Amino acid sequence: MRKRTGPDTFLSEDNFARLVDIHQHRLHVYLAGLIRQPEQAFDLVQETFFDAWQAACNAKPPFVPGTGEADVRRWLYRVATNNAISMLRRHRLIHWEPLDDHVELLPDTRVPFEDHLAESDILQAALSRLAPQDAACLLLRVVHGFSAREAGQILNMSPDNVNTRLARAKQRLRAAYEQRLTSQGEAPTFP
Amino acid sequence: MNTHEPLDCMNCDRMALILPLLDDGELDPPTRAAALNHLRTCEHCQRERQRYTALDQALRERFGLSSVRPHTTETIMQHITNRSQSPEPDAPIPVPNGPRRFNHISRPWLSGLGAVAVVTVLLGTAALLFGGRLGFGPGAHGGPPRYTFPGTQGVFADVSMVSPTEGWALAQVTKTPDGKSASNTVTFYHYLNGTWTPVTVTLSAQATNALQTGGAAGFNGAISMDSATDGWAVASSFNRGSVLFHYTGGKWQEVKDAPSQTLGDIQALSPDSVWAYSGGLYAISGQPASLVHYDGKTWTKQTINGMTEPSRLVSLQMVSDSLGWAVFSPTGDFGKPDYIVAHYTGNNTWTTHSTINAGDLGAINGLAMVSPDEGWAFGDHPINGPSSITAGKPVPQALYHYSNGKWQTAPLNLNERVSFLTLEKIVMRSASDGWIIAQDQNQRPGITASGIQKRTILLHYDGNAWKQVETPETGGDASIITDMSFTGDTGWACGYIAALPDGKTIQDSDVPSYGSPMLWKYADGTWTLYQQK
Repeated sequence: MRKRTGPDTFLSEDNFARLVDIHQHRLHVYLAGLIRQPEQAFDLVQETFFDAWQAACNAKPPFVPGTGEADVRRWLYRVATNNAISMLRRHRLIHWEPLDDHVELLPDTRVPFEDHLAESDILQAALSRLAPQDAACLLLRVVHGFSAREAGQILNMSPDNVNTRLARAKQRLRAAYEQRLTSQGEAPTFP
Repeated sequence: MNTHEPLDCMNCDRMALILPLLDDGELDPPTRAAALNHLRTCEHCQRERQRYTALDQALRERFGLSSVRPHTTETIMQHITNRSQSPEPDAPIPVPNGPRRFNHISRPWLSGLGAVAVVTVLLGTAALLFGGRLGFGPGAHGGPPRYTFPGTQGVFADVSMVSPTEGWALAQVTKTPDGKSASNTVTFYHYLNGTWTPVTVTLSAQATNALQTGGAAGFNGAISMDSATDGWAVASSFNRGSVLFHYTGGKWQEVKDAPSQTLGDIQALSPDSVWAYSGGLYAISGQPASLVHYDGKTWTKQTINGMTEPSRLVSLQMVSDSLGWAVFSPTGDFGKPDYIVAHYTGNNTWTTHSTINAGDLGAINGLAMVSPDEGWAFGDHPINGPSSITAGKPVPQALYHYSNGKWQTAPLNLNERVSFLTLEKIVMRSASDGWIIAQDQNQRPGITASGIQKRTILLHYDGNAWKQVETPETGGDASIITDMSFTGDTGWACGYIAALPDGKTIQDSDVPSYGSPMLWKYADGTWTLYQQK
């Protein structure tokens, strides 16, 4: 690589590359869930690590000695979330896809609810109907394993607020899904 | 989670609130124990729990590690290399953020104060992936750029005139004509007797950090002069926070005890009456919507009925100490179509004036009231469809007119085909004189860019209809007006122009790196490019 002036004390270029290696795929997965567009999500991943690179070059927290790996991870998710929501707003990717447009993707409603969830992209559509911060709560807590406290640090909200949003998000996901099944003329089947 | 209710009162209604969190391991032990006890005997809640467990599992499968194809670390490191390098030997300083713009609405039509007040609103700049060879008006495409300040790189965020002969504008200057650059400054341009003069303010370390470029945000700002001797400004970076400035005693100074670190707008009526708000976009700022008033000594939080922590305040228009307007989304959620117009009647009293329904999936992005009986608002109305249908399509824009006690959509009359129109700002000088700043973007072969690479389209309201008006040619590529301010019969608009290098692959956020701050003057009914002598 050429002309890349990187951090030369605390975090070497090699160490930074290792940092990227550790987190990039998970960040990509998270952002793809949030914005629903894998390629644009990867653009955001690159932006996030560029932000990290700049912060590291300027020896700004959390890229300073004594910072734990968990702090760096939270920082990355926080910047990634901000970048994603910013892009969603700028590019109007928040458009709340109606579930009606996924008729062809509907599962056989005679099988249990749980099976529908696992096999259907309707879940993606339902997720896209959530407010971005609610979707972020859901993904961070359920998929990426952050505690409410950690998610709160990432999203700059209290743990109680995270849990409130999480509960609401799950209820809405369920409601959206069941509403879709009911609209097909068959009541959802449950065990 | 603490439900704050007696545990022995656990029933299915309470369980409905607890079950979504039961498997997450963060319920307080007594609540969890009571919930598990209830589950032992309630088949309904047992089924409910199974559904939430299945939902969690489905989410992990659908959005887990296997849901996207892994990229190589080297790809990311190469991106960092590219971004870290200057694109040209004489290149501008990289500015990774695209500018966010605020709406400013002048108020000489009501105030009679002579000074121009501004109302700002954070706007989303709708766009999908386009680049564009853009001009400012017909025939501007591809021509050599004409600059207001040749050799200066940067962007104007806002302008506020106090008289036809004096005003201020807020800018981020990334490089001066003599080649100097600094990342720890904000530049105010002072207009006095025909000349704009830059005044550089050096930032504190904290402010420098707040405005540091990075991410998908950019330099924003709002400036509001209540007189030639007193004024306020907010400079902000979309991701990182805001910095408050006060002009008094003949100089601009950073305000260390700002009421918020995420201010979105400021409007000064007098040295003893200044309004500001934060939390314009709660999801991003992470800060609750908050409206504050400065009485010359202290900042006091204001209360608007219906505005709560997650509400999203999108526009504030303070006319006087007894008249003002605000429009906000009570829930803060995009897609909730009802926006409340709040009316300030003085003495810290806000009442609900009206509700604008932006339609299914719609949003309101700006407001300009002419009187309690008449006003304008604009927003957007995203296409109701899946990504396969909406991708790459323009987001329909909507203009709303308040008259006869209700809000109704109003037509825009464009003279040309606009591929991707977004309404950015509305400025009502009177009931029969208004301006809308809109933008368009086109694709430019050989360049990969998106979002902000656009040209500005101006529409004027003459009391009967909104019509597109000619805009002066500037040449170059992206040519953007970010704000305008009027006093008397004259006015100024500010923004930037960007000349993009051929053959480069750039991102939308790079465009301001090639920008130069621009000013346009309005006089005798015509806008002309201002070029500093």
